[in-house]
Amino acid sequence: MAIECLVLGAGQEVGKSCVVVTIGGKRVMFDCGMHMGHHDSRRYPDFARVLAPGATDYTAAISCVVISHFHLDHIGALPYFTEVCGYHGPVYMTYPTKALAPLMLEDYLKVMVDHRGEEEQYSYEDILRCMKKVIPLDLKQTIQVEKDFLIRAYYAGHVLGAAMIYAKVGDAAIVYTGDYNMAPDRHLGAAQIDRLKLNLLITESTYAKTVRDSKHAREREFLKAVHKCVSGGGKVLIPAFALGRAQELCILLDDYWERMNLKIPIYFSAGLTIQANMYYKMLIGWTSQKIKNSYTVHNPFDFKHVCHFERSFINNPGPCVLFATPGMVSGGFSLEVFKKWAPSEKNLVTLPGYCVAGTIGHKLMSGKPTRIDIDKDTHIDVRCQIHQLSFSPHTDSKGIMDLTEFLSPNHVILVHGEKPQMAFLKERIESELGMQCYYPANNETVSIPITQNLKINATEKFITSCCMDETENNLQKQSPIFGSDMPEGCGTEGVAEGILLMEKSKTPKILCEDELLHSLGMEKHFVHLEPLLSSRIEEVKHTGGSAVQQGSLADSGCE
Amino acid sequence: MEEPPLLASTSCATGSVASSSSRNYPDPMDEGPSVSVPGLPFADQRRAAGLRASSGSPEVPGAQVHALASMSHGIYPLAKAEALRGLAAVLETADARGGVLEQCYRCAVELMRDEDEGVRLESVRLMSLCADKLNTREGSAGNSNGDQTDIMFLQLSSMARDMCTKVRIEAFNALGKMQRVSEGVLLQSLSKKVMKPNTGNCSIIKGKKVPPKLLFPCAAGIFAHGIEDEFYQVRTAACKSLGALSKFSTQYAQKALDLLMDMMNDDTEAVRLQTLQTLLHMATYGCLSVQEMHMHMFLGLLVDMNALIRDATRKILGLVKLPKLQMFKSAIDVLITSLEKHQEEQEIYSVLFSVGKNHGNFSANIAKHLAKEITISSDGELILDKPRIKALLIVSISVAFSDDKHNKLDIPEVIFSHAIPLLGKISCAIGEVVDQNSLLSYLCRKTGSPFWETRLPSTEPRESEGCSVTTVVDILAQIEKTGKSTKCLDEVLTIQSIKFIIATVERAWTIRKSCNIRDVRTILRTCKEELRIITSNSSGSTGAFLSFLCEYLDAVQFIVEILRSVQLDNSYDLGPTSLDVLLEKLNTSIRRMECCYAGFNTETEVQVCELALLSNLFRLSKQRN
Repeated sequence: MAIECLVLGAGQEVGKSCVVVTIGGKRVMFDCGMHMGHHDSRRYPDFARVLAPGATDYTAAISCVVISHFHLDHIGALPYFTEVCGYHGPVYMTYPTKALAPLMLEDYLKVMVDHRGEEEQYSYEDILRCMKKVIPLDLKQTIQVEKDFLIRAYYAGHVLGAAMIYAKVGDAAIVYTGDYNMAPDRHLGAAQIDRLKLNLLITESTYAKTVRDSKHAREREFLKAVHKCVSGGGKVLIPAFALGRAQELCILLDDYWERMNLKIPIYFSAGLTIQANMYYKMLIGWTSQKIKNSYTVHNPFDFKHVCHFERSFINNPGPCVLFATPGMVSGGFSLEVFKKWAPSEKNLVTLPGYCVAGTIGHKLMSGKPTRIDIDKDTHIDVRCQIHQLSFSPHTDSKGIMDLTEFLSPNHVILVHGEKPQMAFLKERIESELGMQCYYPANNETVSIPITQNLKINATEKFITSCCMDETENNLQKQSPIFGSDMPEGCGTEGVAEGILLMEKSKTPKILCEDELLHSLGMEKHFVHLEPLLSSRIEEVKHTGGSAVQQGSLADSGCE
Repeated sequence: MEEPPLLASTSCATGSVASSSSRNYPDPMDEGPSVSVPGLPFADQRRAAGLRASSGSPEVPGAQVHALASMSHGIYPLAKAEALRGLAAVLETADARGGVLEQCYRCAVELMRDEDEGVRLESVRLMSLCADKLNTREGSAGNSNGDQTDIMFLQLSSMARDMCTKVRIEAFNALGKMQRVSEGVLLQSLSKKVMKPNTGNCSIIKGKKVPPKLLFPCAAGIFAHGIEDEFYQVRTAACKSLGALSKFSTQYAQKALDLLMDMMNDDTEAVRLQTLQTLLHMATYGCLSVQEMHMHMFLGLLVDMNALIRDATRKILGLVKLPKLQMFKSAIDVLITSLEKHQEEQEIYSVLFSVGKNHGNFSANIAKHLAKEITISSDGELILDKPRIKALLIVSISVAFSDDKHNKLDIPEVIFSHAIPLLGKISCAIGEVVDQNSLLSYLCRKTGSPFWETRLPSTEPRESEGCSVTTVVDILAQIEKTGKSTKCLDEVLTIQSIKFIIATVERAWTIRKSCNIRDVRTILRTCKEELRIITSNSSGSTGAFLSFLCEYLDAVQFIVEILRSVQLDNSYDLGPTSLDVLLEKLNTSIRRMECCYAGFNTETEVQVCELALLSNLFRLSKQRN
């Protein structure tokens, strides 16, 4: 028996996560994402590969689809798969993912299809129809998908509602991590999972080689820069994505404002952010411990220092802090504000750690430009200060190692990362943790052998005899020498002899030699071999017929 | 065979253990029946037996440990956890020398990777106890086995990244209790980046058969993780351990400080307070060296909204040594800001004083600048009551108490004279080291104050004034002993003003011959009025003293009047200014002094008698006239 793992996406790259795992006849698809970098057929995973040659029915080919979280590279292809490809089986995702996924998908359609006029693969109606098929999951809730096939979600951090998925078919068990974060944020907790007996761990490896320094230092620098700017009368522009980073930074600022008793207003530009805040307020159960604790007194997403915002406020004098979308200053409101505020050296722009090449955010990060041309006619004089702040919700290399060490699976598969870094991490996992590790490319299959376990019963007497030996062994081995050697167990591994009895339609059992006859329902017979005397021959002739040999035992299948 | 096979296995296992052990050691193992239940009661009894065993024969714990160790390999997590707890109980009382420690250690190590978090928790506890015992054993034997401690530290470190919160808390607590850990391992625990073990450590690890998971990396950055933990209990525990371990290595202490500074931005108050406490602990052990990069955070805390945080920060600031004048100045500035915001926090003065005292040369610098400022605005423009000036004066005065001797000469005289009105504040700031009286005399000596100088060549009435001052001081001493600090402050202020009044009266007495009588009269009247205002606010012994003083001043005024009237020989005066009336009034006043106040010391009594004598003399001289 083996676990077959087919990587349809995110193999040696980041984007369109999709892994199909076959265990003991059951087939699970983990994530169903799209690749934002491609505009052709490579945008979606090559679903046809899961089908047997000639077949067209995806519902028969796949037992269930499990989505880890709502990012487009994990969920983007789901409406396509269910509505266009025609998969009608169960789709599982956590409650927050189910709530937020339509927002993300619709936003994507709006930006990509409506604004840029790209060919649309699925429609708004498809999204709605697709979401209707979704079965929501709760954390640590075990769901029996089919007989002998369980799935369970564990908290993964990363974004609101992100989950690690544990799947078990018979004795074989695997964990698919999705994206996760081992260090807690202000608003999200760290990944949390039980110690499970695993055959395979499929983990993301975005930062396979990077070890990040303390988040505290980055926070401190950020707060210092913001405080300095506003106390000098400047305005702070924080371009941020609507979900996650905006809330994270706002919690940080709100807390600092409270402690330092600052009275400067913080604004949120309207739109998705405010809508997202509403969801955060509702989904408190999925946030960090601190927020859950303080929720009883005050909902931390009701920011105390955040004020109502209107567009005309951009021109108001005096210091303020403004969160505006989009995060990379690629257009929209954050660009509009940037145009107004950039020419003053009192102001500050806080950029995220990563900006796509070609955006203004990217230009600002690479060197300090003094003038940015937006198009032929307009250009901006940039005199404001620029602060770069990376809050990545992915775990780093240390976190991946920690999780792998904690779960101690037999095999590890790396996905969602860059090839050279994955190769480096593979080496580390194999040498330091002694586990088999793979990082297949897209459309490659890895086969993991699993050993089948057989449950056997044991008789009381057999166990007693084992324990006797063991204890006697131990008593002889007193006086260990401390410190000279690492312990190699208490020496409880004794050798015991017994007979394994395997009968058809019964659980096999192990028993002591002298119990055998009883369990077979036979009496004990003795065969006497004596020197042949003429007088004895006569006797035998009289009794006769009781010739059962010990050899008959072999017939009943003893080993 | 009806029983489920798994259950059968444990009950048999324990049964056999018991029977085999009872063969060898029949005495404590006689609790046969309960042994067959592989549950909690058994382990409870083991624990009880463990406690009893402390006085028993040396073999007994061996057998118990053995039984418990076998139980810890069962399959029921609760039973396993209980077995570990039992082992800990036995180990607690057992002699560290036997093999008990080794066996417990082995069990703990084996179960550290258990699937059940309860078992992992107990194994961490047991491990911690083993480390503790090992330490005492080696401490008494004198041969320290650093490698073993390091390995234990690494093993505990590997538990600090457990997924279970309780295990993490326990692991950090255990780490904080470790002794004699080598510096390399300690430093590794702060940095997430795996350091190449230097040659010394390398050889330590190499000679051992260390399992792959227990190499250096497992300690990597556990504290960096710990202080970022989601649960504040873990962060608190990590923070506490950081501080506890920092006394083993200065390099470690420095790096730990960086981590601790970051924790000041923590969102939980309990963690911030614990951080400050840890810093205080480090400062007390002298392993806290504040760098310029920490100042921003530090100063932010001094003006924090939370009073507890401010207080804790100030305590630390009073102990640290700041390497640069700039840092010192900014610290003083922020303390002044905080004083302006929270005038009620009088502790700030004492912090200012100790900060000033710890940095003698920097404070001398402040003193010079302040002296300049005072001289520039000498015409009463400088308002002493401003917190800034008060604070700077206290810092300047503190130079005199600092350790570097040569700085003491640098304090300009003007500082001392301005410090006298702040005597109460300063003496509070200094605390119990110097009493106020000697402080005052010190300040006056430094200033060359006329008050104390003129007192020395004594005429009769002046002597009496001097005496009253002594009485004041007596009472003051009493107050200082009994009074609470805030109340004491009031009293001190009162006494302060009394001293001034007495000084004024004395001066008025000296000028009575040379000046217009009216001036003297006005001075005395004003003094009396002030005294009455003070009297109305005070009670107890101070109040009594004050009313006595009023009476005394009355007497002095009558004497002045009488002398004048005698000098003018103005026997035609009628009404309240006539000599008869004055004499009568003086007499009444003196009598009241004699009768209404109990508990004079000898000198005061002599004084009152002298006054009575004087009054009689006046009377006689009048009759002669």
